Amino acid sequence: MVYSYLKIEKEKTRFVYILFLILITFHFLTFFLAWFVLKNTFINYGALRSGDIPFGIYPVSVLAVIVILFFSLIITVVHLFLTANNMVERIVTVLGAYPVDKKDYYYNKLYNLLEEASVAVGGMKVKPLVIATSGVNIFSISDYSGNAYVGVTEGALSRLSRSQLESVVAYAVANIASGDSTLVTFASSIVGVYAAYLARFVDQEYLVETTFNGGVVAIVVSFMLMLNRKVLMLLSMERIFKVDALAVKLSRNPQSLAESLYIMSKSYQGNLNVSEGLSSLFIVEPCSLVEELSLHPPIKERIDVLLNLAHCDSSILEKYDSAMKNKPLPSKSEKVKPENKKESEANGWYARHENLWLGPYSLNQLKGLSWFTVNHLIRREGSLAVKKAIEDTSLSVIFNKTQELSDAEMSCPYCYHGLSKELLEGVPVNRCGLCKGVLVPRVSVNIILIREDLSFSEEIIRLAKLMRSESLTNSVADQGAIKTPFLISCPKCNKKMKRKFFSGYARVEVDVCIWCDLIWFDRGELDVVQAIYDDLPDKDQIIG
Amino acid sequence: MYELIIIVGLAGLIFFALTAITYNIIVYHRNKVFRSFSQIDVQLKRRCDLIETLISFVKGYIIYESEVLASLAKARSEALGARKISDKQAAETDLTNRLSSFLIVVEKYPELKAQEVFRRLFDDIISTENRIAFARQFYNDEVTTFNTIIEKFPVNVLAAFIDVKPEELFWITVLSEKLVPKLKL
Repeated sequence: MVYSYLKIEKEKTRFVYILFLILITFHFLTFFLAWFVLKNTFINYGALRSGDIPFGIYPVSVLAVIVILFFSLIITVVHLFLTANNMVERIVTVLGAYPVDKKDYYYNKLYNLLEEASVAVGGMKVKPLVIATSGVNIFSISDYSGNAYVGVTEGALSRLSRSQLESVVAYAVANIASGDSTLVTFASSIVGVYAAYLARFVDQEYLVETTFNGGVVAIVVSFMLMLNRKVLMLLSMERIFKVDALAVKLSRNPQSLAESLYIMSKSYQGNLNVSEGLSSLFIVEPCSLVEELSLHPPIKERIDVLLNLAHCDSSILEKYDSAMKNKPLPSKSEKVKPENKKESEANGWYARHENLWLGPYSLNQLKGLSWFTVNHLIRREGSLAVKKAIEDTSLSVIFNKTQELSDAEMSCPYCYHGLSKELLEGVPVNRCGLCKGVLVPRVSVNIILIREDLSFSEEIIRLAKLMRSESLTNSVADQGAIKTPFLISCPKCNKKMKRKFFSGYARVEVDVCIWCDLIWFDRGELDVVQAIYDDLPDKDQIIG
Repeated sequence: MYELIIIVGLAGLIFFALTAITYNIIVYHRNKVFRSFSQIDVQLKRRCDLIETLISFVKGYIIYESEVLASLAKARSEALGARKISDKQAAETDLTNRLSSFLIVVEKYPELKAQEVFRRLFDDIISTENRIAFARQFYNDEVTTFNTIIEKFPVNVLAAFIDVKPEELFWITVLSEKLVPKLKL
């Protein structure tokens, strides 16, 4: 059957009515059964006790049916109102997505792409979100109040090229602009989001221990997921083709969208924490194991249509097969540009004050100079290039008051040298200039691990292999605190940190502050964790 | 007699209703065109601001090609001063060409390209170029829809009566399109 845009739109309108009918039927049947059971129980209980009334089955009266129907109508309206209210926020919480930090270079790219796509649809406001997982995927959610979000996984940010990312962002924005996203978000919110909450509840250890409770909840979750699937199946899969076409209209690049879909279908989807009930929000379903049961059309068909639009054949996608298998890894030393390396090796800066070159000063010393401003001329130690202080990005922390306070407060737990803020793969971290230890928020560790596969020195690789073999001989679940007489204090809150293995799969000893959710890595430890991570087939096992 | 009055009255009512609906459609689409043009304006202003930041940032690095910077700064002020669509088109075409020439000059300064501030600035400029293209695409779509509506019969009669004219498309010369800045970083 050939679908036209009009048919898809008509189907969407019909879907809302059907959804209302399903809900009212569901509530009516529930109340009707409850009424019937209660009525017969009370009457027969009275019959048994007094004997005035004969024992039997008593039907529900017409008046009661009308009352039940009226109540069902009210409950359905309340249910729909509650579903529509804050549905976006609830889904964001369940998915574990978080807003982007515009200072991060990677997120700046996403922010720009989203703004471009928003302009292409007439200036619609769409907010970016990120999920810290290595899976390559993207989702869009929106509600009837005009709140719209596009969420991208860290894996997609680091593995897709700019044009590929642009095409998938265009898809997500097209999904919102066409109204599909609101409909799917709404449909997923009716049952799917509650199923996702319950599914998490089942995972709780104390519930699993009591098999009966766990079993009951699991049955309820299965029933809810089945209902959710039936509801979503009312929407035709052809709407996805329509959104693909809209995305191409926006980005004018069907080839990039085809490439992105191909990469997504071939990549490991990661531990997206996505319940089946919410998987239809994504461009490629993250937890669809059997294509026949998928709520999206087969990915191959979508790719074929897009390649046809681009006048290409599937051979252009072969390079991604080989790229994914034998990806040449840039070495860490190659990654650092020579100019940057020279600067990073420099110990300090000379600053020109009252016609004299003073210094060299470290970052912390520069912070303490009362006369030092953005307009002072500076030059790096070992370099002749002179520039204004504001032009040196390494000094931006000095002029940013909020960062200055936190930096000033924090010092290395080992050598008490002030920690300086720097970017590690685009993520802000605090590093000790002397011992090279690094303090990283737990969420940021995941992001650093997911981003860019870098190769490491032989020593790091040897250590990573050793740690990996240790994890295989020991139980991976052994992640408790390590007993040690010497515990360091958290640079932020000054409370004692816990010594732990980073994860069961990466048995690298790290210091964790459970209060601030920060992790302290000694020199090279983060590299070892990253080397282990790059070597793992199931990458999200390592992410804490 | 009464029948005739009723028929004429009904016909008049239908005519009035149709005229009102058509008038509202014209107003709706004309406002959409104005709104979409303001989108281009916002992005052009953003580009001018970014170019200003870029000029002040690279001033210290680019010493020998100061005339390129001066011409870029001049083109920027002209673009900011343009009010009519035709003036804007000319000024923006000129600015795009100057920007392209400037970015070719930047290729000679690897230390400038290595600066993260410059890289971010460059990313923002590329993104703004894309936004301008998308805003122009959206505006041209809206103008085409609007022009088609007011040029079709019988709407063209009403459009002529209320003095609504077709809007201009926003174009940038093919030459400048080819010169969209491309820089390997």
